[in-house]
Amino acid sequence: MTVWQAVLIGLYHYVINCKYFILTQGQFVLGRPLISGLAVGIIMGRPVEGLIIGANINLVYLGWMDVGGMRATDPAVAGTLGTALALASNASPEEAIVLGSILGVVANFGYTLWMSVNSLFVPQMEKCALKANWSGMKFWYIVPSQVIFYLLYGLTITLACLLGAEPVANVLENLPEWITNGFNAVAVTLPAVGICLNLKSIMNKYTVSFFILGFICAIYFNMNMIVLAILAAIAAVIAIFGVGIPARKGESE
Amino acid sequence: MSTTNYTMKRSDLNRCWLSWMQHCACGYNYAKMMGSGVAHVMRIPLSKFYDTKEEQGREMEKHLTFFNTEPHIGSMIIGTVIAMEEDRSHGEPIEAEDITKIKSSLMGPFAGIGDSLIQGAFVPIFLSIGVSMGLQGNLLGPILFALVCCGVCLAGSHYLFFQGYKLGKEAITKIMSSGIFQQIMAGAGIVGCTVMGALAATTVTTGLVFEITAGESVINVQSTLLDAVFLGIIPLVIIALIMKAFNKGKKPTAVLFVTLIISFVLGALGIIG
Repeated sequence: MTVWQAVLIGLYHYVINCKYFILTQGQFVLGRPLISGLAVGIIMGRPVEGLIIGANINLVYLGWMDVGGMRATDPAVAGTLGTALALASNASPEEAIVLGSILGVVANFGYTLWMSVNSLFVPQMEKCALKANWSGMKFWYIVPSQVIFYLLYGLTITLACLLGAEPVANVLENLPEWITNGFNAVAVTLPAVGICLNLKSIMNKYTVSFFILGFICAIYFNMNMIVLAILAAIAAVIAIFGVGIPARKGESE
Repeated sequence: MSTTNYTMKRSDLNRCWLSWMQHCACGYNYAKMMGSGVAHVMRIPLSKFYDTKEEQGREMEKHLTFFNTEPHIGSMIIGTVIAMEEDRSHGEPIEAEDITKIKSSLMGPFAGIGDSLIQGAFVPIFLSIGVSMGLQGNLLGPILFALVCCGVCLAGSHYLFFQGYKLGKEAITKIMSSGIFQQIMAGAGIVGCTVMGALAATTVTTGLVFEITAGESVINVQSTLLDAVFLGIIPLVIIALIMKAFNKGKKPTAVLFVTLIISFVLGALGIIG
């Protein structure tokens, strides 16, 4: 990996996840490993490989939520740094899942640190606010927290890309067969955690049957996911409005 | 007291919405959470409504409180608060506490609805579709996900912000209690569970890999015994076990690591794969 690629990956991570640029919808949309895998792949000149690695890493974070600033892991770092290191060391998607999961847990401490340090600047900001000094208020709220975010995530990721690629490649190259078997087992099992994290917030004793329905449609009938989502939406309309659907337009409204 | 009797124009409101989306979490902190972001939005209307810096600063004091909600759905609260500030500056009998009370009483319910609807159902549904395309190297997967989710998040929060400004606090309370969010959640739960089921079937493919030698014949337990009963019976058992751990209140990170370690050990021993 060249220095420029590493710098770009760090900058990309900062811009997408710093929460200042609203078009990115950071943690909600563009910060997901599916997207950053493709972006890192483009930066490194291997878009499709990057996408496949990113999609694999993302499996663990499907149901990831940030509730009130409390988050279990950091999928954004798993997506950018995980994909970058996996591509640089020619890791398999199975190895990338393990790599990404570990990076996500480690990187999450940075977020707690960031939110704690941001609290230190709040008194300054509020002093300005009470004097209606708007530019001072903006400065104390935005500049320190954004600089720290770049140092904590952007710069750190650049350095990790540069320094981490070789050790990771060395480790992966000399893996004995039993470890590779272990990684493969992790790769096919760990997505269950991501799925359950999401089910935790949407599944109840009624919708569990729809989970089974989706499972059977995919495993026995190989049904396309978009088609299945549309069918499920129809089922949802029937389930919610079922008895109340009027026979003709305008009736029983 | 010298108010300007100013009424917010559409362009002012657009600026407020933009400021909310930009500032609500860019300096997210444990002291005030999104409260600091609210102060940044309110600088725009307050500097229009009041002439002097003293008055602007005095009115700002009530917006330096703790505030935390889901930013997209919660933008409705911000719209309402701006409308209340406007009425207050026009001389209507709205006390500072009324505004503080509206903020603190709505932020919790909106966070609950918003988090479960957006992060819990909407994003995962489209993410699952995107990921299942991405796994096959289909570039449309991430593009579709990004366009749909960014578009809906931005357009939705913009719409709700303006609704909040227009309808005011009575209407918000009415919408909250009308049950429409419950219906949306129920629908999202059905679609979400179906999609998650399909995704579980395609991505969780754990199976037994060892073989048993019974006399002369070698039996592959997975393909000859388990698959004949039900395809994917082991993934379903794994999911049931993980759900049980979550229902017992185990932390996601703990579950992640325990799953990682157990599956690694069983894989290394040549039992599953």
